[in-house]
Amino acid sequence: MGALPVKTARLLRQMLTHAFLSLSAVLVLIPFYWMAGTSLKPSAEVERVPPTLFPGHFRWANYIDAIRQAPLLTYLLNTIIVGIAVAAVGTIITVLSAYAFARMHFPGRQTLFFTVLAMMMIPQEMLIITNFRTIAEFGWMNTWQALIVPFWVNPFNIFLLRQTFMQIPDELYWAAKVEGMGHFRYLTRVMLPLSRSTVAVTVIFTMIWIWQTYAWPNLVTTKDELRLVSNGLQNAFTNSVGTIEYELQMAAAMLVTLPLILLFLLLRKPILSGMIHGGIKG
Amino acid sequence: MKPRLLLAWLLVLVSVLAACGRHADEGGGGTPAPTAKETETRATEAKAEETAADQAPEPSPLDEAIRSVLVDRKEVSISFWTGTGAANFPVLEEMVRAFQQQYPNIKVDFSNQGPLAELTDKLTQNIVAKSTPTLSNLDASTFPEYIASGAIVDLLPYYEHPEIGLAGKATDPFSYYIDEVKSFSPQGTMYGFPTNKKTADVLVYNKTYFDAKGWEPPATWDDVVRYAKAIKEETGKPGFSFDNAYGDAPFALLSRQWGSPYIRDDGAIDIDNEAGRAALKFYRENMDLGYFTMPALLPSAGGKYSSNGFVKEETYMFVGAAAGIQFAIPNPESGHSSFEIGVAPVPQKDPGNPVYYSKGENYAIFSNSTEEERVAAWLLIAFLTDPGQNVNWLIRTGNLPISQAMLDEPEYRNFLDAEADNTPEYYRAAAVKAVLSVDKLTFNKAIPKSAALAEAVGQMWEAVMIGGGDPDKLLSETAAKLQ
Amino acid sequence: MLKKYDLVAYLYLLPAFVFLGIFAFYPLISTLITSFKSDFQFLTGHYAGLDIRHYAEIFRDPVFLRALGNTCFIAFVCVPATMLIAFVLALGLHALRRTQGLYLTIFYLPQVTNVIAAGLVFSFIFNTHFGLANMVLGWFGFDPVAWISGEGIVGSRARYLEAYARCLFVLFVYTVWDGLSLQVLLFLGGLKNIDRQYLDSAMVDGANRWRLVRHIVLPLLSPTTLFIFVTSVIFSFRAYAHVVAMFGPSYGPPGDNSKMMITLVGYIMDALGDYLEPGAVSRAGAAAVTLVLMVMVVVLLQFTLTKRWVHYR
Repeated sequence: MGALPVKTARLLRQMLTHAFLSLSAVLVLIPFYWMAGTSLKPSAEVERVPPTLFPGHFRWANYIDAIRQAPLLTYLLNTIIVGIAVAAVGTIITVLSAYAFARMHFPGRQTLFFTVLAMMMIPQEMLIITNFRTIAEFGWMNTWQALIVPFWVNPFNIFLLRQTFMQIPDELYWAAKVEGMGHFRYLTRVMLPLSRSTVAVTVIFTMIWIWQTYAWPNLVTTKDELRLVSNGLQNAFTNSVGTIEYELQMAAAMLVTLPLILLFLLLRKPILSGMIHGGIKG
Repeated sequence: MKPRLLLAWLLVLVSVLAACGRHADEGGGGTPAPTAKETETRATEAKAEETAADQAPEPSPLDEAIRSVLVDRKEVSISFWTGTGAANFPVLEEMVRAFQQQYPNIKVDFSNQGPLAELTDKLTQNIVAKSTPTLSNLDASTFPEYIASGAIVDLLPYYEHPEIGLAGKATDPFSYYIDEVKSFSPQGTMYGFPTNKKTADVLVYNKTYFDAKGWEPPATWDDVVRYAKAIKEETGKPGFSFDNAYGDAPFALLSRQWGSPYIRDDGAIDIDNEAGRAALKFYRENMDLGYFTMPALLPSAGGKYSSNGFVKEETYMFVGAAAGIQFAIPNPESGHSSFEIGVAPVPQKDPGNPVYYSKGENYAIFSNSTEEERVAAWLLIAFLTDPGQNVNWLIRTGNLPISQAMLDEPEYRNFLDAEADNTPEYYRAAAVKAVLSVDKLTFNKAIPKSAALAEAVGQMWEAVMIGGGDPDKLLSETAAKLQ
Repeated sequence: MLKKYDLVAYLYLLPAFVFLGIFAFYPLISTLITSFKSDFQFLTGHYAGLDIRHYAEIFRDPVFLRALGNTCFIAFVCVPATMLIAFVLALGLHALRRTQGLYLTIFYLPQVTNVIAAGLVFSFIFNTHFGLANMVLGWFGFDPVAWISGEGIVGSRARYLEAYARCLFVLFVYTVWDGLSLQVLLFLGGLKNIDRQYLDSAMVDGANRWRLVRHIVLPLLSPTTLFIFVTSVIFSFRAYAHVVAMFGPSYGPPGDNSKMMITLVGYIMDALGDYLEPGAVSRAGAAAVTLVLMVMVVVLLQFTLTKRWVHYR
């Protein structure tokens, strides 16, 4: 590239970048596209083998059928409520813990942090049975608490936020301390605004987690009024023989995915702008 | 700042502990404290015993509870779990609602828990957590463990009770269903009761092709081989396939027909024997010749159901669930060519000694309930076994009628005798008729290892048929694994 | 310069540890103890005694060893590959100004695509007869490959290894696809955190692009890279749901009776699934404890390497 004039070189570079990104984007999108396509196909076409790439004609009624067959709207509402409750308290816990690990010095800091990290390593599936018994003993079967409280601590989020906090230079803290700021004020007035994007990202991660989690809510809720979308997607479109009505399941999946996409679009500005302003100018 | 923070966390901690404390009192571990109802019932029973002491035989707790529910119209609340497809659930809901109309003092909390495997897992978890429903569907293989741990109740007293029982009455199910539920436990007890979700396997074949050849549906396996050979020579496709969604279905059926005990009466597993080996080799040889195949090897099926391949004429006969017949109907909109299908009973090795398997769940009432709740649950079972109530259900789902009375219902008779047309309804009726043409259905004795046996056999079958493994070797290995 | 400890930190950490205590430590200890109970009966809670027999059992079980192998494959082959691709993509995104938002939204989508849907799509794509993969191979003149197929694998060892390799490839593609979206987001965040000053001054000095990347960007990105590697490895040790989505509950193509593609968590779940069998739950516990120990070893290694390689400001 050294031989070409600067402008052409840059243009070529940009074109290549775009080409590469577009190709990757297309590859990444294929499953999502298939999900959308199947949700609009009539049931006969779904069974076609080889599968058609584009629906023969659009059957929007699949969405209505999906809502009728499973109380999707109830599930969706429940999931949103649980998501907000978990994100609200969970973010507070994450912020406080990440701050303590990033900025404060106290005996046992390394050990305690490793413990949190260790909790991330443990597959949820392993703890499920004991937690189920615990919940039953609390009398929390089929309650909101059972769906919300166990998710309040998310080690991954703590780890991520600590990471971001640690990249904020010490000098800022010393300057604040000189002005008489205590930890709490420093956290809320200085660190949080600077870490806006990461906090936004942790909120999204939490929401995605609640959206996708299946094993636990399935175990602790036995009544439709409390169930979450994951349960609806897995079970509601299986017929008596065991085969699945894919077009309805995909329509439901699309419906259920929309709020997450909307959330991302809403939080996109804070995420991106937070990232841009993340660096501290000398 | 610090004191405020401290106060805030203390508050949180205190409230959490309080919440735990409160609930720990209610649901603490160990055996559940007697509920108010139970104490009341016991008190009533004690009093009844006292006053009736000098009178005729004292009424049993069961009679007391029956009187309480039916005569005194005491309010009772029960919960009922099922594991059925989403499409059929509303029909059951209708029936449960009708039940509550007939017995206004009984409230039923009815919910669907997903596929059968999920239902079973949930039930076991809830047994440990002591929050089981009153009544639930249950797969045969889970009965031994539940009975051994005292989680479910003996239903014989209810079944044989003069007032509310069904024994000997018109609505009494077919004897082979009752024999099956009696076989779970020692003589003189009956821990389950057949549900209305019974089905069986049938043989589905391409009637258009068979008629052109002048063939009758095959009655024996020799017939099947003959036809499959001819099909292979003419079309190049394998003539016969066997659904293995219940993985052990092919081997269980064939080896039993060949004479293997499979599970002996004493509960021991006996699969590694000459009959078992012969059955395996029979199917395997025909696969090697290209006459037989498995769903996974059909280009369009690729799973455990042959129907996808059958409708595309990749095979011409298969054995599969009667309830799934509608998926074997060719649909021109999906690109299939139009042909008629036929349904027949499953082929036999020895027509003099036929073996047809029954499939489907049974009811169980859980011990974690009061006597009145159990009576109410039994009344629900009886209601759900009522012929009139089941007509709509049976027609919709293609499940088998479990009593002669159900079979004799006029509307159901009409359904069975309907004219031939190309609708799912007609084929469902045809499938039911095919099964009913058989004298009796067989079942395997349920043992604690039933589930493990089914899984191991399923894997072995696929390993031999698709994986190309050595039948004798794999059979011995599987038998050894299950010891 | 700190002489005093910030004991108030304990207050900050209190809520997290209270809940971790109830929902993570307690079950973990309980599982640990159960793993030593021999002949543990789930429904009644009875057990014969305490010993390490279940640990010996699992290490003698070929299925467990294969689960270990598969999980390590995901962690140490798929993850680095994903990181490489994600890094390049993030670099590309970082260079753009305007369309960044659009691409980011697209790359975000796999995160919200339902696991079931994704698993199904990939089995379709790699379907022997009608799959996209074989279609593309056909364009280049190659014969179709039976990607997820078990024909003849029990009879012949060679066939088994071939089938295994093909399934590993499918798993590889899926894992990369799945991990990309998250990693691109995180890498981009890390890149953006690098002060433009460093990059600008280096450009003025006449450094060319690749030198820039190697000597400036990579070191400054190292905390992010480390974070991504550690978390990705930890998550891949927990791989389970997508393996089941692609290969079914028997963890392998039809015809396979060896649970070909099983992972550690898959092994644990299967053992838990047999809970009615005495001792099964203990075996699950032993496998789970092994998993946790393995991950701890990996993480400890990362952290000792941190001291040498990673630069925090």
